Parts: sequence; structure tokens; C-alpha cells
Amino acid sequence: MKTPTVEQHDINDLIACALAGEQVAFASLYEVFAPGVYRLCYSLLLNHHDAEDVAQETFVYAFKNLKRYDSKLSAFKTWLFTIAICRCRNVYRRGRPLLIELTTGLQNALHAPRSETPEAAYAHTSAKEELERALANLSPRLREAVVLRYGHGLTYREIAEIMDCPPKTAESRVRLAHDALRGALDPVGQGLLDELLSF
Amino acid sequence: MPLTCKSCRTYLTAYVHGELTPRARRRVDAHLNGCRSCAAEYTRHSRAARDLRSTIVHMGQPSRTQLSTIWMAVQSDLEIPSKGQERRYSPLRVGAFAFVLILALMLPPLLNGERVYAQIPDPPTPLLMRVTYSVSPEAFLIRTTETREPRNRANREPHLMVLIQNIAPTPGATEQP
Repeated sequence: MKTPTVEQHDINDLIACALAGEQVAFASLYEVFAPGVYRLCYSLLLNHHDAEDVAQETFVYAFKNLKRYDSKLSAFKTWLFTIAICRCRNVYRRGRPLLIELTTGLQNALHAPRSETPEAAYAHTSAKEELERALANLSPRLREAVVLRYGHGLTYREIAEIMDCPPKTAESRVRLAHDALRGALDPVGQGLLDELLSF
Repeated sequence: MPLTCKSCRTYLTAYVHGELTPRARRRVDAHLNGCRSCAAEYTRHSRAARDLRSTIVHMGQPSRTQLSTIWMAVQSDLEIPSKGQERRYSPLRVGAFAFVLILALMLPPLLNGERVYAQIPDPPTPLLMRVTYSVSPEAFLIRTTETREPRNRANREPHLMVLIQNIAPTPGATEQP
């Protein structure tokens, strides 16, 4: 799904219209930001049901408290992501371990290009599953940092704002997560070879 | 001072992410130009960053159906409180509640035919007052007596006399308890 590109002043107009009570403006804001918020929630929780719940809670909270949003302080996307991450942290705090759905690979598999061979498509899907496992093993803070950086292309300053930490901390979290995840995308054979050579 | 391979590799991730200062970046550049092993490690790092970016971006892409389901839930969540508030503060409900409350308060006295009074608590140190007044309306004499009840009523003596208007009691003054 392609996210519509909307300029910040258009977003501010939409927010003003929503505050004036126009239902269409709420729907437009949802249409623009829902895919990103959902992807963020899924990448952090690795579970479709939890991701749906948290995305829903995020938009309900944001729309109810829309008058609290200040465009001078942050972008609307950053504000939404902050709310979503707070809700995701509530899910972590419930103490439930992150469960990777077994059917995830089937439901959400990356569609291989027509030119891609079945072997290549399988390798692509298995790389994604490996990455999900590696993400689940990361600490929540590192996972948040790497998902915001690689999944949403945010700057370190924006990541720091969302995670409520200094930009340097955000940078180091991305770096640590990168180091931890690097092995997940290596081919299995290479990993095995490395293991054998290490003995 | 040129970098060693070990220190160069500690900088590589930061180098890939563009976090190094210009000076540190120049030193890493110089080392990578002369060291094939570290250059290969740098290639692996940058490839990992590219792969992570391309993989995480596609993780959890929602379908149109999922987004529609969430939107319907959001809409219903946003509507429920307003309906609830209307229902909670509807005049009919408030009126009915007030009527039941008044009925509950009024019913017991009406049925018993008696008035219900709240019991007045006993004062801790009660004082009995006797008012002495004269025939003449100008003078009033107020006597108060101590009543540390009822230890010894016989010994009860007036201990305070207050004359309100005329100082001297007029002859023929009567005393009333």
C-alpha cells in the first residue's frame, strides 16, 4: 500500500478541519498515517492482533486529544508515533513474551517479483522470518530505535524525540541494534561456516 | 596517527550510519583505502544496513481490510462516549432519579405520622441559666450557675452574675428559672 504524500501544511489544515468537527478530516488523517502507525506497531509487537489493538488505541487517543497537539513542537507523525510507542510499551509491561505468529510468513510474505526464482523468493521470506526472530530477541529500546530508523526513515533527532532520550543515545541504540541484527540477514550457510570456524 | 584494524572496525557501524565527526571519518576513509580486510568488513556492514532497511520497511504492511477494520473500531470508540454522556445526563433520567430520592426520604415520616428529629448531642459542660428580671422592663439580671451535673445539687451556687442594663436590681425583682 502506498502512503499518500501529504505536506505538513496540508496536515495542519486537516487537523484544523478535524478540530472544527469535520469527520472527513479525521478520515483523511487516518488514511495518511494509519499504514505507518500499523507498521510501527507490528514491527515492535510482531503480532497482528496486538498491532491492530494498539493502532486503534493510538488513533482514538490522538483524535480525542487532537487539541493538545502543537505543530510548533513536533510533526504530527512524530506525535502519533510517540503515542503508539507508549501503547506498545504498555503491551511489553504486561509481561507477555513476544510471540511470532507461525502464519506470519504466509500471510505477510513479501511478494517476489515475477522474475524472481522460487529459491530466491524462499530465501527472501526466510530472511524476513529470521529478522523477525532477531528483532524479538532485541531489547525493546533497541528494537524501537532500529525500527524507527530503518522502517520509517526517521532522523536521530526525531527518534530521540519519540523515545524521550538524547540524540546521541538514539544513535548508539541504532548502532547496537544494527550490530545485533546484522547476523540475522546473513545467509544460513555463512553463519554455519562462521560457527564452524570459531571452534 | 593511523587507525589500527581493531579500532577501525569499532568505528565501522557509526561510519555506515554517518555518525562520525569529519575528522574521524577521514581517518576511517584513509584506513579503508589501504586495508582490504576492513574494506570487505565495511562492505558487509553497508550491505546489512541496506538489507535491514529494505526488510523492515516491508514488515507488517497492513492490508486494506485490516485498515478498514481498525477505522471502524476507531469510529465506534469515538462515538460511544458521546452517546453515553447523553444517556447519563438525559433530563428524564435525572427527573426520575430525583423523584425516587424524594419519595424515599418522605415516605417513612408520612407512614409513621410522626416527625423525625435528629438527636441533639449532649453538651460536654452544660450550663443552666436563670434569668432574673425586674418588673421594670429596663433591667435584666442574668445568673448563671455551674452545673457539673448532678454531683451535688444542694451545693450548687451561682458563680456569675451579669447585669445587662441596670446595675442594681430593682426592688421587687422576681426570679424565674
